[in-house]
Amino acid sequence: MRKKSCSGQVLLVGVLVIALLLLSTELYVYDLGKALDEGKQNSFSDFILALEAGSEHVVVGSLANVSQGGTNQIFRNNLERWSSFVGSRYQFGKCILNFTIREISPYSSGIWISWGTNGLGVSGAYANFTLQLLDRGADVDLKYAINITTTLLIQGTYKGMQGSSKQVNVTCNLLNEGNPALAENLMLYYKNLDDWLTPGPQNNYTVIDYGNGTYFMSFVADISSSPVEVSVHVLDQRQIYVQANATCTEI
Amino acid sequence: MFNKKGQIRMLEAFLAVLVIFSTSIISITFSPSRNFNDEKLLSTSGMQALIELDSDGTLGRLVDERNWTALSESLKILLPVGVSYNLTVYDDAMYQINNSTVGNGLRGQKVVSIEYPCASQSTECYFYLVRLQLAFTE
Repeated sequence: MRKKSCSGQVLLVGVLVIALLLLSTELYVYDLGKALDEGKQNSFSDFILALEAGSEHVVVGSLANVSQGGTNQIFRNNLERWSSFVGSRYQFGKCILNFTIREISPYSSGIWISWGTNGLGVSGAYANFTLQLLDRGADVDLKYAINITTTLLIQGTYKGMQGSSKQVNVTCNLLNEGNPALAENLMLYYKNLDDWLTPGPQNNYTVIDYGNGTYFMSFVADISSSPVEVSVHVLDQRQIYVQANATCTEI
Repeated sequence: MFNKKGQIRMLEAFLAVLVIFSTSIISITFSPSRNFNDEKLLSTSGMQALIELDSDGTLGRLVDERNWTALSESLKILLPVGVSYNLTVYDDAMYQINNSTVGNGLRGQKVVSIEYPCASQSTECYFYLVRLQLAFTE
């Protein structure tokens, strides 16, 4: 009779211990799975952000190169190098980054360079990207486009003074992707007969930087030709070059 | 009589298991979610710091300029207090290009390593792999 009671207690303790073991194992596995899922999502999104930022830098750098005299082919070459570079850099699986560069007018080989005589100058680059991240049990397909455009708008007026002397005022606006941007370097030229000249201190040349991408330039010079033609050459803070020519209106 | 006693004990045992199980489930469900591990926190902090630094091209520019002091100072500001780090930069051929230590002396039991692909905005378009090792200082 005594023996039977003991076996009941052992059974009870045994059942409890086994149940606790099962429970704790189950909870541990559940928690671990949850953490792995969260970690994976973070690694995905962080890596995607890194790739998008890198792709943008490649487009900016390529446009800077092309706008300063490089060939359009540089854009494609840089993107191919970037795709190849990131292809083997994903720690948790496989990364495939494909791109297409825009060929629709006004773009040619992904590049749009239009430095007009109507007061508008544009340097732009456009590429579409397709990103595939292949992981164990999770795939990500993402499409994004990078459009980098530096726009320069200029307009000028002039007032005839004594003889051929003229007071010239030029206002220019610099935009990055349609938003006001600051210039790294800004040069103004005016045309006298067949020569393009830069105004200097002898011309009372002044530049006012309004700090919002708007610049006002003023000078006085002997200019035989009429109306006055001006040209503004700008390097923005991303090293993208743009220029625009305009014919000033007499006031 | 003996059979009935056994059945009651079994019932008792199952009830006890049920009580323990339900208590555990309730406590887990309503307890505040804890940081599962430090690794996740460290890697997230490191990645966020690098993303922030790279958002305007600063990361690539500082590497282009080999300005390791400025890079180290920037990371010190962006990373949380109490995190030690060590940064290594490789070029696209995987050659290490930082000849001096970039970091504040990596120390800690658990070290996390993250890799960040970076492109510079320069006209030459250089590519780098930035490897950041992080640990909580003890």
